[in-house]
Amino acid sequence: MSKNHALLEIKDLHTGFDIGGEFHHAVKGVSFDVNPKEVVCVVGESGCGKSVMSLSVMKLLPKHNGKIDKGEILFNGKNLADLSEKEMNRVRGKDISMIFQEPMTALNPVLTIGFQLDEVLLNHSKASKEQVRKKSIQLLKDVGISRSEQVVHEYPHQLSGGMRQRVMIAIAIACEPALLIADEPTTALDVTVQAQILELMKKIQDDKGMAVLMITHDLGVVAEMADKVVVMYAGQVVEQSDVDRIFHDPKHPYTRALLDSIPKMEERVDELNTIKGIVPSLKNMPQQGCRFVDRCPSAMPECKQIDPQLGETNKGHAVRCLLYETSQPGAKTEVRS
Amino acid sequence: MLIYTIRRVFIMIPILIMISVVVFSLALAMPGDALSGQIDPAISSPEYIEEKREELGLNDPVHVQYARWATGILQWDFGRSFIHRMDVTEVIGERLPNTILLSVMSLMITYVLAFFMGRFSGRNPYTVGDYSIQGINYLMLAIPSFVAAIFAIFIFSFQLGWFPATGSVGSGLTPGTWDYWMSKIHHTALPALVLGGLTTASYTQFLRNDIIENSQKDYVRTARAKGTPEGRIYNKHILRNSVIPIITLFGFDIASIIGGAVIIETVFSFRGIGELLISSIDRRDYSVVTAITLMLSVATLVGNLLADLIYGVVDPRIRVE
Repeated sequence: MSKNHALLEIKDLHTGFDIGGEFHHAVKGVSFDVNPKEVVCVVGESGCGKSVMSLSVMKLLPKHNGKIDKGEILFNGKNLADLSEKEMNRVRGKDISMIFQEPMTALNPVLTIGFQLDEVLLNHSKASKEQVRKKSIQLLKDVGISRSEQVVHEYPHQLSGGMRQRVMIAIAIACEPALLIADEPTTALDVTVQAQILELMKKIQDDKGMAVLMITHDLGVVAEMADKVVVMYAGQVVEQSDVDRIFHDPKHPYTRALLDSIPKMEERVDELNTIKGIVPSLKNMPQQGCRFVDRCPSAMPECKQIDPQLGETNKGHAVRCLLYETSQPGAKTEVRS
Repeated sequence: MLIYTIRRVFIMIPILIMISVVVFSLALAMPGDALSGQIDPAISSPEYIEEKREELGLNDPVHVQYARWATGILQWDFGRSFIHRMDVTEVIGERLPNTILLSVMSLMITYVLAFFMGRFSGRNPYTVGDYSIQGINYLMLAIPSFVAAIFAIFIFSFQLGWFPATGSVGSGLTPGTWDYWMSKIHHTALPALVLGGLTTASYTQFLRNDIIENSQKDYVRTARAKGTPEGRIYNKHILRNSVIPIITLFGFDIASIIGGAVIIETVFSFRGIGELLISSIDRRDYSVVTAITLMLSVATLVGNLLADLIYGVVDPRIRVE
């Protein structure tokens, strides 16, 4: 495999749900890369499609109505979208693993921690049960659980939320995957525990040299973790760049609005800045023009008619907004999509 | 766990006392009494009846009668059956093995059928197979048991001749021999099949719905994210969770093992507890009726206790230290 290959290349991904016989896209034409050992944060409000995008990569969409409709998910050059369920099971947990938002429900309540941790190792290796159990105990130590010999015999309800998320991390890193997808891993935790979990993830990422695809709506997490940031709105990428430029030179009105809505320490205000309105629901998605137009402070008349493209304004900084020439239809600078 | 069990058993004592009062009162409230089932008022003189009543203690105050009855029970003396002219314990003891055999066989049939049908339906919901299973189940639930029993007798006994139509054992066999037991099982098979088949619906439906509900839980997504094969997810992860609500039903079943099935036993002339209860009520055999009622109450209490203890075994969240 050539060196300049990205670890994960998402190309023009379309994912959606069958709702009452109609197919609605939750992710529409998302493209970005994750390089080896890179931390990419996907940011956006609830309902912007970031979780659906991450589930698409693992192909864990709800079976009865979720579907990848179009596009490619290349992992080490292999298109995951084409893999069968059986082939996908060899990738899940081994090459790509995932941590979820809700540690309280993510573990099976009637099986021991040890069983659930052993399982991922047994799925992907031929090691004996004793070897696997030893490894599990070590893994729990690695994620900062000191009583790991006892914890393997305990059940999820005996552990706190932070501990459970550590167990989830242990499960995720057990087979040393090249890519870890973390879907809002700290959202459900206390602030102090959040910091510990982020620190742990950062340390593991450094030690093991994993790439991390982090889904979050917390810009604090982004500042802490990210190398690259992908801002999503209503199923599309609206801006993508390295982390410094997102914070210091945001281009898209939505990104700016997101940054403005962080309360600032030095200002005393009566009312916090918010973005008015909500993300349009799948059924009410505008069919034409910019999807952010109704909430955009800089909206122009043509925004309702012309679909903006994701175009590179400078190297490595792409934005989807008609304020920039690069987003006009037919502009040469279009990022593949 | 042991302390919890002992505590639960102690809590049962006041409940049992209350039940015994209710059972005794209900027996008193029934028309007639133990004597009226035995004598014919048309040919007996009122003086004789009065004398007999006095002799049997039926003229004593209610609480004295209750105390006498309750003391007897504590000494394992449930009185004598006026109809069978034997001790009640003997009458019941003769019927109990038949009923237990019938109940255990029918429960096995229910569990096995419901397990496979429920698991299939839960894994493949909203498919033709699922709809067929549900259709069959609801049909069986809707058919009254006496209708099903009569059809079963007609088809399997009269037309095909596979099973005997009535009775609980063949005649002329020595109790305890191999042939005797085989004959018993042969006689029990058809009523067990009818009884077991008709009750699969609730189990199947419970299991199916719980599997469907659990398959959308977060922990299933975690298991899938680990690369766990689908079959293992259902058998190890989901089924372990889905048997928990079934245990409530299992608690009731324990009581029914002893209680028997009144209608089925009657239709098949099967000599079991259910049939004994009905005929005893019919013939005002009070001591038998109260004894069976009391026995069923105890069985229900024990069943609930067992169900609660089994909960602790399968669900670590309610395991009692």
